[in-house]
Amino acid sequence: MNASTAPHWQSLLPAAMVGTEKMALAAPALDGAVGALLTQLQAQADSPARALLQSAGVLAVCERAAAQGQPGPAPEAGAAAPDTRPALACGSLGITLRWVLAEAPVRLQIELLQRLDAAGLRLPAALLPLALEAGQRSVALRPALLAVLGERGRWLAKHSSYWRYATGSAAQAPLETRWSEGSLAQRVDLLREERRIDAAGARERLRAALPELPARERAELAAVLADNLSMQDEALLVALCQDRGAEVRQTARALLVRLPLSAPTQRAIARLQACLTPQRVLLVVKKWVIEPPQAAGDDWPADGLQAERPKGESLGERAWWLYQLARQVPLAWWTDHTGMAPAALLQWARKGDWTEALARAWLDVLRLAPDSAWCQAFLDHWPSKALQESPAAVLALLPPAAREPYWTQTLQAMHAGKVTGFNEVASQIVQAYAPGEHVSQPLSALLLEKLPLFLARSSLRIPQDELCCVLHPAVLAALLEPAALGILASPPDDGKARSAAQVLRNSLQVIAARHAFINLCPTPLPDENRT
Amino acid sequence: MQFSAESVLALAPDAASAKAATGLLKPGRWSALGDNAAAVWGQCQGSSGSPYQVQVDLSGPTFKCSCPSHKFPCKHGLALLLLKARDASLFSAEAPPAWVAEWLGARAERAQKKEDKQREKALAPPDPQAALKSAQQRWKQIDAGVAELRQWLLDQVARGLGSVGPASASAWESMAARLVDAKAPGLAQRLRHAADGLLQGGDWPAQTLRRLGLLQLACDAVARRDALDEAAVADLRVLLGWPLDKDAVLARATGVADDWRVLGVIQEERENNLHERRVWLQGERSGRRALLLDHSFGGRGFEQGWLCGTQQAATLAFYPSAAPLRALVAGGAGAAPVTGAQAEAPLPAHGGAQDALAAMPSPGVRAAASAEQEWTAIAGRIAANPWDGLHPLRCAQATPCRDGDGDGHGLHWAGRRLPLEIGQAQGWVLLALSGGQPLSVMGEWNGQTLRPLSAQGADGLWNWSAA
Repeated sequence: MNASTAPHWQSLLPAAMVGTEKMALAAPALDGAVGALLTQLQAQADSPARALLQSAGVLAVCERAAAQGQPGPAPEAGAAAPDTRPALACGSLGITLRWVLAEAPVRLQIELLQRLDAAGLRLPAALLPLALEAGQRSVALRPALLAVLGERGRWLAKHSSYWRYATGSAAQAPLETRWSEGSLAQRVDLLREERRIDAAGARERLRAALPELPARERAELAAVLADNLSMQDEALLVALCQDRGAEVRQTARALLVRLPLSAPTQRAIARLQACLTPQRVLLVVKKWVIEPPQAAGDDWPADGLQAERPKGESLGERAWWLYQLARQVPLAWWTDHTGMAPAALLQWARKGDWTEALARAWLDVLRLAPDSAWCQAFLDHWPSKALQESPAAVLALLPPAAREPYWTQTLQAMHAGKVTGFNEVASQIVQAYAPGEHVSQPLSALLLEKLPLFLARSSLRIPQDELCCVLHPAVLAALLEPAALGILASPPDDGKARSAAQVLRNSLQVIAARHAFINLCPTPLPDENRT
Repeated sequence: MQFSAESVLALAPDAASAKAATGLLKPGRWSALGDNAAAVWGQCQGSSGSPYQVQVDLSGPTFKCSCPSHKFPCKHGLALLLLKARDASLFSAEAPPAWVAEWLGARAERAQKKEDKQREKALAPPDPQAALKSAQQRWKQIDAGVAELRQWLLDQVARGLGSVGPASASAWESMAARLVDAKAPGLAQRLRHAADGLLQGGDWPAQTLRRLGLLQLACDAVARRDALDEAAVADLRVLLGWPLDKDAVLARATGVADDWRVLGVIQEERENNLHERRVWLQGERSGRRALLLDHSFGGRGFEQGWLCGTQQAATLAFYPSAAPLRALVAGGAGAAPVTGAQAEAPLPAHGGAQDALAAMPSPGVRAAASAEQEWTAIAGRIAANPWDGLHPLRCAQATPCRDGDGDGHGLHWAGRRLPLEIGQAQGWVLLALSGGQPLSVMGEWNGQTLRPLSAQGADGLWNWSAA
């Protein structure tokens, strides 16, 4: 009920609007003491205008005294289900987490939420709105966030359409609805998920959907076949090699290279084998000689081989042909067929006339199906003359732990006079590790040893906070110690080298937050507010 | 003293200070942290130079810092108290260093001097003849202004509000300005408020009529003030914008000694950089509620801080009123020894509104009154002083809720829904804290919306803050 439309105002308003000079005042008819008072006012007032104003004043006061909000039923949402996990206590860790959710890099947010989850805790109620907002901004944060929302968080998320991602309803929607109505990214995720569980089912789903999809979506979805790839996928991939979209054809051919027994790959092997001849001495293979074809084959276009060199191609015509042929052959064939190890093959290629064609082709195939022996060979014998790229391209194909020796080597070579490469190593490290993962303790120590040398002459390209997030937890305490002693307060001006703790002053909050959550115990902490 | 980090943030003069204080909680910033029963202290490293000496007298809390900031309390003082709230183990209990001891000593001395001065003042009031004459002078001016307002109000209604147009605003403003000249700024403010509502929203005619009606009642009250008792005249003077000065209140009121629980604290910026702070208290033994209303200019802040949820022994002097609520701190617990009789005696004859709460079965603050008692108390206060617009309301067993698709936060309490006046972020926190379960909420009720100042539930405490 709106107070202003109540009958007593309706009787006063016409005269008030038109003016008591022109319209008679109709007294509001009310029972009880208020009605009696209004009647008395009307009788005593020296003018209708005065009676009207006094009546309005009396009614306004009575209304105020009676105002108690609107009657209404209890909230529809009901109460949140009881949480089984204890919440993080709202003490100092709570304050730290508040800062992290509001201002810290997503990488740190993910790490701390993961630690919360590992400790069997959930977010405290007071931080839920902040956390849900952070998840609204960052899709990457959501998996870690959903794990620690608890019943209370899911209940809260239901109250805002912006937080629908956290209510669990999207993931629970029927698979078919998600497939037909989801965004491309969601459909890629869905297909990837299905591919892991039911490879054939996912393939058939893709095959059925292909005719209706635009080229870009066909290419992205077809790439999902890389997971659990098998000969059963050959037919579909061969069909996709004739797709209208160049990107789709390229994706399909790249996947076929990973199926050595597939017909296209067998044809590619046959073509290449014709170019490779052994020179024997007394029946023992002494040397392999490679000679690119003298002319393009008629069957080449069908297999995506271009006879004509693209503009700006650095390879000569026959080298270009060789490069294309080699690009369609699995790396394993080379080692099997020639009996040479990857390192030997790279050295062999370097000595020959066709280094660039071979190195580029191998690198292309290696990218599609990373192989640690080949990666190592490339890193050890980088054909720097033949390739324009840096070894980082291959390094990125290795699992992070396998890359540490390379980073260690690069860092160890640095000294005060030569610090080049630090930025590259630092950004490779940050990219290599997912949030919550970190480099080994020796490498962390090495990074911290070289960082002040580097910062004395140059500046970091990646955010310093990000670098602090991949350091091994065991080195954090040492970075906080000088701070606790107040040593950071006076940076030395005498040109002495500064310590890592000093150069990382601005990231102290990130370091302290990580350190504070390392020892988060799995047992519930007493809730400070309840005591 | 036990207090929460949130209640410390509520002391910040503005949101920026609260944020800056939180940023100072980094390790390495602080050294020589110490505390005793009376104070906490520490040194905070600024961006350069020697560290600042930061200290807080816990009896207030009252802040002092050697930094050059003109904000009060400064971020260092707030951060020190936040550190204390968050991890008391950082502080070593030891004898305070000289710079702390000196300050505490000087403060005690000043407080003593102030008390002496007050006593002197009470013994030797200013010339009563002169005061009376000046008061009569002012009433004469007010009477003239009010007579003009009465006629002006009649004219508006006789001609009809329908003739109001965009040009009317300046005519209303000139009437308001004449009321300021007539030394009745309180009435001028109400008239300006009515003018602001003209032609605003479909509801404006009834809204305007309400405001003019209340002004009419004010005029009537001024006209017959000789027939009113002292308490009602005091309320009338507040309405006119001519409240009793603090010395007069302290000199005439009987102190109410009690352990006062801080129910809620809010600071707001008014026009021209004027900051208003309202501290709502309730006596543990008497059950009485009180409002400490203070103003400060610029970022100077308030000398004494009040931490929401804490309890302070103090003697309050209530402003005379038909529904007494506003009070001043007349002294610490020692200023007037508490006896049972004293705690109950000072209720004035017109204190019917307070009676409803004071007579609650359990006077303990933790046991809140029923909804019925709360609403009756408010109605009683409005009956005693129709112009008082802001009322403390404690809602036990109240459930925060949201309007379907709307943006509004509300509170469901005793079968009714009260719209909440609260920022979006804080509204969500309150909702999260409840999880659909009832909370104990304290806030300011203005007849239409409740502005929550503190809440307590199974999952923790919440209180208003500028952050």
